[in-house]
Amino acid sequence: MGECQKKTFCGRLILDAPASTLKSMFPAKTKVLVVDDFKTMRKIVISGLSPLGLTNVVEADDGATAWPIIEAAAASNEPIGLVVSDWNMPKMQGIDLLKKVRAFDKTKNLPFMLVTAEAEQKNIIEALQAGVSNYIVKPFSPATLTEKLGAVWKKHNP
Amino acid sequence: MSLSKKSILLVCEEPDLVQSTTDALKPVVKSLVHAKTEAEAMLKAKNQVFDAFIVRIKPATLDRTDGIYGAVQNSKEYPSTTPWIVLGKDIENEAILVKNRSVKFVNEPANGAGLIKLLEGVFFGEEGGDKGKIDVSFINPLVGAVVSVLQSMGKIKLQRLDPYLKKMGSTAHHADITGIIAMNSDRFLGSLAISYPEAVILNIYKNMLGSGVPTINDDVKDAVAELTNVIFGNAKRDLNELGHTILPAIPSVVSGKGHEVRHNVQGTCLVIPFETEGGKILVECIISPK
Repeated sequence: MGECQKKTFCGRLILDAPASTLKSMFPAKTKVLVVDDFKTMRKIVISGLSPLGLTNVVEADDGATAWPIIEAAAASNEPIGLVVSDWNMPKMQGIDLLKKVRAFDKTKNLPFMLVTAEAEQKNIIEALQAGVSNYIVKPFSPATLTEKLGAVWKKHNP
Repeated sequence: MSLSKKSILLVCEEPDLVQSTTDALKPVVKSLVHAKTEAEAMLKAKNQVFDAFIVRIKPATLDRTDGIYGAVQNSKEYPSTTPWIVLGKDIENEAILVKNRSVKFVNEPANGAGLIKLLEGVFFGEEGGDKGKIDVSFINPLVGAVVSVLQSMGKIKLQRLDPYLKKMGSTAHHADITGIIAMNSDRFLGSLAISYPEAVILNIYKNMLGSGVPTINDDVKDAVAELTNVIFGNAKRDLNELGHTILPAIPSVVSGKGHEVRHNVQGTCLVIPFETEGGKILVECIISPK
């Protein structure tokens, strides 16, 4: 195992476990779709994915633009392997994108994490009922993102 | 609207404060009972049902399950809407998230007329109260969200300063960028704005993204919108837990030195300033009952 790597938040991460262990969670070149109407948040999430080896990232600025990307990728030889999506977006909310993903046969088991600033109980229940793999509440630390992604991986790879 | 049928329990061990409160309230209420300590208050609250409580207590200890507040909240004799008036020193500087809209905070020394007005307000609603006042129990979740988000995402330290009411027509003359978002519910129309000096927001941006930019650009504006979004979301969650039904909203951003912060809602505008290393951040909030 490698040494612990300590870095600072956002753009750099505080890791309390060897990066090599975390990197082995997801296969190399897993294609990740990051969906958020705010570019800043997409950058923050992407910077959090990078130390985990998740550098094959595609971005979308709304659920409405994300869905065609997911659908097209599913029909190609490089499907999306993980979605990290914001909840509140102008044209299609993350929860509605999740429902579409779960309703489509080719993507019904796609790991899908929702990112929310609210985490009201009714929203969490709705997300769980819709089949979300996990959710994370803003603001979050890189360590929390790593932990949540680890849970997503374990859920889809028991 | 009369307090003459109301029984009040005053929990306070400071003689001067007890005297001044008694002088003010005894002539207008049905009964004013005094307890020196919380233990004594708990006994009295068991033997007699009171309509409201006035307590001199540190807000941070209010929520203790072994105190008078905790005892009353858990008692079947008292509805959760039983009004509480908490007297304290510089109490509005304490961002206490008391999850009860019936709890009001009053800075010491408690003015007799102000206490009566406050009691009328909690018993008889806005008609009996002061429409111009902003409920501290509403403001605290907002302040809590600002501090929590800017400290964790922006990695800055904030020191809350004394709030004040914004004069009509005044501008945020020292702010260079503002995130603004509507805060509406079925009971009120509201608006929240958070204004930053350039140096402060550029520092926050750098802390968030890991690399800085020399001036406010589209990426910084995007970051301000996201910060406003997250602050609003956190506050909305906590406010809705208190019984409000705040609706989702989309933030907008205004930038430019000396720009005017305009809210789409008319009403008393409370300004809460925060001192930071690079300058002051101003949080403005308007709540206008429908």
